[in-house]
Amino acid sequence: MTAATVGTDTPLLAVDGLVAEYRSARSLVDSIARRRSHVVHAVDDVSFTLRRGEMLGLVGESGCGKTTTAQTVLRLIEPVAGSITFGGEDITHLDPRQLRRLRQQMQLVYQDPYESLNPRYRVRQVIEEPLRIHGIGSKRTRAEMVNEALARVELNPPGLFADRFPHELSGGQRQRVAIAASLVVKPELFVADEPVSMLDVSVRAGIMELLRTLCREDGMAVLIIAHDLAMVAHSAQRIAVMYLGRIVELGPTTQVLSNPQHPYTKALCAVAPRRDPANRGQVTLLGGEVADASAIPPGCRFHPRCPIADEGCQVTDPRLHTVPDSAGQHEVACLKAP
Amino acid sequence: MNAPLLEVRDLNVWFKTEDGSRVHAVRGVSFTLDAAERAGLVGESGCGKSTTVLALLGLLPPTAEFSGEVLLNGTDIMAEGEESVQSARWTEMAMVFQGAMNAFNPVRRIGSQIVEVLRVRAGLSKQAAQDRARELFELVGIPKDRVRRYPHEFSGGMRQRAAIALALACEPKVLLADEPTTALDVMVQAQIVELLRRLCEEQGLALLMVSHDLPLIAQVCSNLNVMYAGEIIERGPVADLYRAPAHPYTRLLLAATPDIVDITELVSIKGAPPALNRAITGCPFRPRCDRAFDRCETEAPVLKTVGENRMAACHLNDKVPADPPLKVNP
Amino acid sequence: MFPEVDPNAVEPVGVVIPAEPEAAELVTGKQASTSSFAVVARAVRHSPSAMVGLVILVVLVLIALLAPLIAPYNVNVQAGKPFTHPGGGHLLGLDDGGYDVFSLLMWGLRVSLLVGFAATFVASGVGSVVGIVAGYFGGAWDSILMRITDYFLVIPALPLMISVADIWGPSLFHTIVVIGVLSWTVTALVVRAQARTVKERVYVKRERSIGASHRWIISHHVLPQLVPLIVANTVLNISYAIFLETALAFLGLGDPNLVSLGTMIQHAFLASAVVQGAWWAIVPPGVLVAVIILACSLFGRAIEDAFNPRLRAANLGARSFTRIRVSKDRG
Repeated sequence: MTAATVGTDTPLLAVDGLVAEYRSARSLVDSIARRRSHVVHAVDDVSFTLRRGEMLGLVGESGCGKTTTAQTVLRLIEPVAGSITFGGEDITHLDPRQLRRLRQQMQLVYQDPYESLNPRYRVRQVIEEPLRIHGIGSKRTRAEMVNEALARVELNPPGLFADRFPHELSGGQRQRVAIAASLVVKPELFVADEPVSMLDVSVRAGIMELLRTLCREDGMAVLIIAHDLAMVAHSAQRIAVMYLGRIVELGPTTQVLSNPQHPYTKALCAVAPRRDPANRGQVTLLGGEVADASAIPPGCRFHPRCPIADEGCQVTDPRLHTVPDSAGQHEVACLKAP
Repeated sequence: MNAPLLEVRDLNVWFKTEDGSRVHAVRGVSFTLDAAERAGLVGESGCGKSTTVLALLGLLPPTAEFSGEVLLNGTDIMAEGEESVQSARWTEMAMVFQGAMNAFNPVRRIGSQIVEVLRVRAGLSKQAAQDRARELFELVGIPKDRVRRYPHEFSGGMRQRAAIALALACEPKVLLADEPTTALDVMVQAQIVELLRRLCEEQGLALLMVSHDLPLIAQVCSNLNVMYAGEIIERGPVADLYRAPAHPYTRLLLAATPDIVDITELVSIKGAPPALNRAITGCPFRPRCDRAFDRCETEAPVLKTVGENRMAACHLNDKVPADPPLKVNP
Repeated sequence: MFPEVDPNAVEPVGVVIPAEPEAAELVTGKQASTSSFAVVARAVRHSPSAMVGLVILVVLVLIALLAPLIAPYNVNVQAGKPFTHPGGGHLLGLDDGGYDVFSLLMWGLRVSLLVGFAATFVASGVGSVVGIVAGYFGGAWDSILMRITDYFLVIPALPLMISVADIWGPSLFHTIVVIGVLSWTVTALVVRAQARTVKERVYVKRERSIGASHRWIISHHVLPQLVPLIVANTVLNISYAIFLETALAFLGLGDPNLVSLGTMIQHAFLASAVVQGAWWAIVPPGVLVAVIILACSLFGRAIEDAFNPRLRAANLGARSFTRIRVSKDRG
């Protein structure tokens, strides 16, 4: 746990004006010719907060910057501008050594359960490794902690699973192992990058339920990255919709899904598959493909695909403003929204 | 009554593994597909659905063995093995593969790859083939001038459309689509699925679509076959399957499917599918079923009719007419 | 009638097949050991040529180690007239100095193998370090190290050895150094390429987010993945090193005080063994060198193949499609 004493009202994580880019490498010739490097504005002024015991879903299509946001928050990618406050402490400019001690408190679970575990390590070694890296516990206590973590992710009996290699487990079980390996150091912030998109539908709910339990019972703050709303609809308390590096809508799940304000959110809701095929209304599909983050259109970045865009949208870049009657919880960045 | 366009009888596929054992990946699968019918093959990973469609086109790896009949217009195209299936491949029955986006040769222009197929299989002249390639692009919604581009210049969705164009090149009667929307964004998925539906309607194609995404496949297909552990365990019209699933797996699968409006508790099915390298006694779904009873342990259920156009393989149907309908918030 | 089913009572050991076309590969049903040793052992067991290579190498190494004990004749004592025909207790006759060729072969093998192994270990060691640093860290490290590698890559072997022999005098140590200097580059390139690939794997990237230091990641995750490649590369390098040593010795650039297989050929050649028809003085050492190289190649290739990521089944290409057997039995 962090030494910083913060009240339960203060968010655990506060991100403000975060900007992250990818620059293509320049060769010697390019430098001499003073050619500008190709810049991908992956994250362009993103702000949000996350409290303990809260699950926030960050939703968007590929290229919207959600994964980059998560990696930047964890300082795996260096932000170009903006600030990240964790547990009351500004971590935007910490050096690598200070960051390493911080890593214990922020853990990341990856999308691909088939690639995120070293195939040569037994489950026990995988889960024990973070403890060894951070010098926690003795050999015996570590073994107990491994079993405890396995039990926590419902891989029972722990002894049976601890001896297995990853390739002997199913995708869902592997993902639980990855979660156990992150839990074992008792983090405060848990980031899950599309944790269930490579798993079968029948096991997804189990993993999401596990994450929800961790959130509720252990008071962890959980940030879930997802590419479609359905994945987080049942678990997250708040949803942030991203498009081309910006958050275009943010608010409590029920409000965002039942009363979407941004045209992009509305489109995402419309194409979300429904359990009862009779429930699908007439869907007007959004034309075009996701725009390139290295060539962001002027004005509102969504206007080329927007069904209700007008001339004003091509000029002015909207900021997030509160939706009326939402107690300040629901925000949207759209010039046409009330 | 017209004979079905495609009829699969008792298809079985075994894979030989390195250590000598055999995996019985597809177990006695039978189904029919009428002309212009759109049917879905739904199931989770490892249930054998991709293997089934690969078997239909004779595209199994050398480690595979199969038995059964694949009748296209009444003739078994597997009778002579590679020779007989070769003539039907692409001209009668074509496939859009899983990960088709990556199935194009990266160093050749997409147009030329379609032209090649047209010249070799349909015997068109170079000029005719090029015209047809442009026509196909238009059909699937890609601007005609993109014919001269390379695969890496296309986005994922565009490449998938190009893969569909490639499949339609020789005007087949049956289109097999193996997870055509994997790895695509949700918007693009919706576009592709809509494209498939429209094309099949306009061209009068029969479609067999394989997917693990139940709601998605329900948008395109009128009939669904649900597969589990290499067998078809339920079949019927989409709406009926939703309203009154006749197999616990179907019911649980629907209950595990998220819905952004109906935000009730999601169900997850504990456990994993059975190993397919040994014989299964009793019902393959028994370990995970919430309604199993003693008969399920010893006797494997057979796929039989439980209603009009409905079939299911579950002992429960012998006792009660059908499972109670899924509770849905109004 | 409807007993409780325990949802957890399913064997978790999955023969769970993630995706169909790969079903044949992933289903093993047993705890297949993935340790490097086990994989190599399996590869060797399945490949007769690898087995042959390994056996030959082991036998030769044993002979070399035990040469002082098992050589029939003392190689420092003249046993008869030069170029005596084989026979009469001398299996391969006598060489140009009257020494028993068979015993000399054993002693020569010692030196040749010593040079081969020593030079290669130096080369592999240096090459691996360079490769890992360049591949894992990338950036400026990569640029600098690769430029250095390029420089060494193009140095020609003979002129270098001639220069070294000229300036510092020919000796075993110099031979080892020269061969080491010439062979590390290939190892560096191969290791760098693989290190770059391994670095991008998700489980390696994950280590950073856990908080592992670069040293930890390299020693626990990158290096273990590279060891098989390095081993295969080393074995193949040994054959190259021995060949190079033989060539250098034949050209008179080896240590004049030691007998290696190369010097045996050299002495015989210079003493006009060919003209005198004394094939036993010149052919056996050459054949032995060839055998060593062959054995190393067979074994090294087998290791290489065992660790190559298996090529994904190209079963969607109609041309490579084999006729399916339509079996009538239900299995």
